[in-house]
Amino acid sequence: MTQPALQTIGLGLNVGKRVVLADVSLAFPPRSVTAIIGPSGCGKTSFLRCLNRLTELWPDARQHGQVLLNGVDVERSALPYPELRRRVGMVFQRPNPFPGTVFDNVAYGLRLHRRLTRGELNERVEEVINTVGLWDEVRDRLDDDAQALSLGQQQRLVIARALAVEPEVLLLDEPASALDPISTLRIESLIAELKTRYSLILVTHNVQQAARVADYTAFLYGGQLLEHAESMRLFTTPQRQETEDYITGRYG
Amino acid sequence: MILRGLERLAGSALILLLGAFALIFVAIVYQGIAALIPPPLVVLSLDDGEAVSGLLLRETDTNLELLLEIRAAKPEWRSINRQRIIASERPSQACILNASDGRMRLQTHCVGSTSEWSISYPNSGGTAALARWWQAAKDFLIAPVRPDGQGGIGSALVSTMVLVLLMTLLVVPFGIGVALYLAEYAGDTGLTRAIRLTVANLAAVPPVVFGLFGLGLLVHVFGSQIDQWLFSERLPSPTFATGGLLWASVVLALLTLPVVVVACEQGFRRVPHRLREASLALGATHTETVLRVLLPAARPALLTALILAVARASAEVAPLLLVGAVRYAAQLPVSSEPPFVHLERPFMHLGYRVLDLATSSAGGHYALQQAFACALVLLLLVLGLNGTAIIARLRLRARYRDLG
Repeated sequence: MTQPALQTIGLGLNVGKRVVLADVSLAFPPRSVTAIIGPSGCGKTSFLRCLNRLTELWPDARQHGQVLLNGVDVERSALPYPELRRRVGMVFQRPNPFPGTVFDNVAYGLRLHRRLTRGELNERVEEVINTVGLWDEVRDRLDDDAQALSLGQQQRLVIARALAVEPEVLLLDEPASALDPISTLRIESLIAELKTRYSLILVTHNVQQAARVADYTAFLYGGQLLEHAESMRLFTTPQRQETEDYITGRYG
Repeated sequence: MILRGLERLAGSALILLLGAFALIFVAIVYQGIAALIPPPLVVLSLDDGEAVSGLLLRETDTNLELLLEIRAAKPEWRSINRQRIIASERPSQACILNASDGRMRLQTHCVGSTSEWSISYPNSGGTAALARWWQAAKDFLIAPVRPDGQGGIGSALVSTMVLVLLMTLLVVPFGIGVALYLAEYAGDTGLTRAIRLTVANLAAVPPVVFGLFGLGLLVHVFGSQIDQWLFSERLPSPTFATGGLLWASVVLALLTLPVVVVACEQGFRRVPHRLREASLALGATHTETVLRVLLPAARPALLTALILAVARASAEVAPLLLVGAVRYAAQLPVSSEPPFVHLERPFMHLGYRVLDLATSSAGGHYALQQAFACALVLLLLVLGLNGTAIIARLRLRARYRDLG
């Protein structure tokens, strides 16, 4: 079996006295899409934030258990969180471009981590904007305000921004939930393209979306991992009653 | 019912107050502009063809109140006149001319001799009037200041600008630093609450207390130490152990610190959380996020803080009287020789100039008008300093419009 790109063992999260996640053990194979589904408040987003330690921003949050990046324990190897976050990129629910130009947005991470000449920078920016299929739309607007783009364009822009720093894993937190159907479709086809190069973890509350794009699907319920299987199997023959209820739309 | 009545009362009081402010503003502008328009020119001709020209201050049936110019006086009077001119620019000592059978007589206490004069009003319109206006404006703005505090306000204007700029240089980095610490690094502990309370309370301290603080601690303690260490060869005459530009700007900086800290902290807190997350998620450290996302996004708020600080500082006179503002400074605090800005020098100040002119017993109506003109210049200065910041803020706001 190949080494998982990312793996959690007994991951738990408490916020104050509330248990948000308990004992989640999941492995994410490289170059694949894993969808995490579950009803609102089941801990999907919290789980994602545990993977790149954005839980750090929550004052009362305490995270325990192991997160393994390429088989290396993040805590034990004392990997600095900024470096962890560079290798495990994240795209948020609402597009969050920085105030500033399209170019500066994509170049943000590059300017942080690497000393590039102006030419190399331009090249790299063009490359990632191309990857997300935005180049033809923004090639003349690189110096425009990023906030002037449509929401769908903004979301692809922030994906390009995340890709620019060459992550190994990309976390997507309901990346299409704020977008219209056509933009959603583009994001989904982009995810399908990206999985040839990256490992993607997609949190979504849209069961159909998970079925369309994910190779594997995990069902979280009440902070616990109830079921994890290849998407095909999970959606056709769910093992648990709760999973079946959820995917058939009986709650959620 | 009572509450409703109170509300209405407060409402009308507010409107009255606003009206009063508007009136004061209009008065300052009107009086200031009036003071800048010179009085008409008259020429007094002596029987033998000699002439003296002057500005007509007040005219009654029998008297003319004049400001005399020196240029055309008789050669043998020149020495006398030169002295008298200084005096005669004060209306109380202005020349009084008596009209008797169509001839004017210059009173002796003014020129020192009694002679017969005739009066004419040349060039009361057209380009000559423009030229006289130009001359009066030059006299008001750039004529050298004299030891009795009279003369042009140029020195005071430049000094005030330098003072405010220096204050800005001090308070902005420090204020932003404190605000950043409070908003980003400190968390919500007893200590930070205490700091916040202290800063807020500083805003309620009367300005003159800041002046006293500056005099007691900065001038007498720090200043004396600096003099002993660095300027001992000049002792016992003080260098920094007396009021000067540096201490005055430090006092102003402390005075405006609360405003700056509160405005900046609000600005930092208003930067949306998702921008912070976006930066961190790209592998930026906290410091990088602060420098590259938080500070740029908070720029409009920082400019607001700057505007408030400049407006507040330009208006202050009381504390400056204690730490370096003087009626007459022989030298500007800036010069073309190194070190260019002379931090130890006492300086003239527009606000103080207004105070001085308005309360001087010798000045009378003329000095009061000059005070209004000074006040107008002060207002324009604040407007000019702030205008730049306001324009910059508007442009930034347009860019950050979606942040709110």
